[in-house]
Parts: sequence; C-alpha cells; structure tokens
Amino acid sequence: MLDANTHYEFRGLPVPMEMLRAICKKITAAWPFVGICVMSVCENGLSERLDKDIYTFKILASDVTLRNDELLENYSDIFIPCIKEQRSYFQGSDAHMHPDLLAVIPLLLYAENNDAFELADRCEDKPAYECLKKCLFSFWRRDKSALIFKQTDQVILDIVIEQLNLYNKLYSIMKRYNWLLGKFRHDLRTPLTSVTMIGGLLEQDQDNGELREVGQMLLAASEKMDALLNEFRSEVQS
Amino acid sequence: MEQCILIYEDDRDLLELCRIILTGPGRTIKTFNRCENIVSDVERFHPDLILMDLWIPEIGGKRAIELVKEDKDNDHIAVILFSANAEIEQICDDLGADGYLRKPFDLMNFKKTVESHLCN
Repeated sequence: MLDANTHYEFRGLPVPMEMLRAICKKITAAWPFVGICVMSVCENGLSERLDKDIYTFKILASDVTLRNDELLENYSDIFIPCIKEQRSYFQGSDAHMHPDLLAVIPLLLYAENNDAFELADRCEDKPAYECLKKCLFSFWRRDKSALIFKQTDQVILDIVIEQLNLYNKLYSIMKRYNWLLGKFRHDLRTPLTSVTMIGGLLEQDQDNGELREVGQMLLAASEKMDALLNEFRSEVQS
Repeated sequence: MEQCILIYEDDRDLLELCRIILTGPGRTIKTFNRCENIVSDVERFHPDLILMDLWIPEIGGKRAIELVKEDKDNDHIAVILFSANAEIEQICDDLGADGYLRKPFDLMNFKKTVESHLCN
C-alpha cells in the first residue's frame, strides 16, 4: 500500500484484463464519488536506473512509454494517461494527489525490495512487455478535492486490493512457470534433433546390424519424446 | 565447382553433426556458433547455402538473415532456417528464406532439404 487513503499498488497486471475492468466498475459503483486511475508501467533493466541518492524520491511518471501500448488503448476506459512532466516531487513522504495529477507512479518504490530486483533480473532477456510490471490503483474524488474514505470503506478497499495482490502473485508465478515450460520444451528439441540425427546415421550403417538396430531404437525413442512434448504442449494450451 | 555451406547453430553437438553429415567431395562446410559476423562471413566464404538456427547469439538468426538479404549481391544464396519455434513457417516467409527445418528434424529430411536447395 502506497498511501492509506488514495493509492494502492500491486505487482503484475491482473489477467484477464476484464477482471480488472470489472473490479473498477464495482468499486466505482460502491463509491460513485471516487475516480479510479489504474496505471501500469513496464520497466526493463529497472535496477540500472536505481540510484541510491534518489531512491526516496517518488517521481511523476511520463506516459511516453505507454503511448503505443495496445493494452492501454483497449482498456482506455480504465487506464488514464498520466501527465508527461517528469520530476522529483514527493521527496521523503507518502504520495499525495496533486490537483493536476491523474496518477503518480512511484517507479522507485521497490528500491529496497529484493523480490522486485529478482523479478527484474529474471526477465532481462525477455521483451519489455514481459518484464517487471507494476500497477497502481489511484483513487481521487471526482471533484478533485481531498479524498477521505470512511473507515469501513477503507477496510473494504484494503481487502479488495489485498485479494487482487494475492491473485496477481499467483498469476505471476503461473506465468513464470508457463514461460519456463515453454522454453524447456523449445530447448529440448535441439538435443532431440541431435539424437534423431545420430539414430539416422547409425541406422544407415551397412556393415553392422547391431548398430542399425541401435539407430532404430534411438529413432523410436526420439519420436516418442517428440510425441510426449507435443502432448504436453496441447495439454498446457488447453 | 566447389560448393560452400555456412552453418550457424549454437548447440555444438548439432553443429558438428550437421558438419559431418554434409561434408563431402567438392564441398566446403564452415560452422559457427554465433552469427553477429555473418556479413563478413558471407563476404569471405561466398556461400551457396546458409543454414541458420533462429535462436542463436548474439543478434539472433532472424536479424542475421535480414543483414544478408539487405545486400542484393547475396540474392543467389539459399537460406534454410531451423528452429523449434512453432511459427517457423511464417518467419521463413517474412524473411524471404528458401526453406525451413522444424526441430527435431531427421537425417533424411535434413539431407533432402539441403540437397534440393543446393541443386536449385
């Protein structure tokens, strides 16, 4: 939680996005005077950008990197562009909504969070959209005045965001393992090709019947492995 | 006339196997486990055929083939891609490659594909 009153942060985009949209609608229905801003930011090589001297700064986010994001376009009803100016603003304090602000993205919030670094490091070789994603729920009054929830409302909101965080954590784990399984299946096919080729070479041996037999066994084994991989893929995809 | 084949594959076992299988009289085989120097490799060896793995350091097989195709003087060089990527056919079309081999491919398929493109 970034700010007890107006901001909630969670890691990873909830997927399907329809769920996020539904949650936003339900929150809006429950608290019609509240505006909701959901911002996401993808950070590739986040750790390189972190500077110990400025880690307490919370900076205003630029939407430059988000402008071409198809996701943002498809869900423009819940995503709201942030102002473009980038400067340190909320030094040393919790973020508060500025009247002109639609959202605040604390890019450096995880400066001391080892889990976040680990996540960023893991996805170095992946495209930016696969990398560290952070979302921010930001609530503000539609009339832009200070937003103060009743304590009971605040508790309910806390529970909603807590559940969303748990969902996201599970989703991130599943996505990570799904990606690893896909990579494993892909990588296994190269040594499998070698085995198949060796089987083919042995099978062609004119002088040694035993070698030919071994070659056939290798070919049969590699065919079975390939079939298992295909079955596995089908099962995962289903 | 001597034929020249360049093979790019980061798995050394498979690279060596391909070399062994394709080696023959009147044929030069050059193997590489990285592809960032492909332009200079082509200039140096004047290949008739390039066999390219898609997932290979440093720039990847796709970019490497794009670099080769940028030079019209290389239009006569046949390119065969190999990969476990399920979208290999589409990638092959996009790159204007001459053929592809989906891993795991077998010996006969490998030889047949290479021979057909060398004949062409």
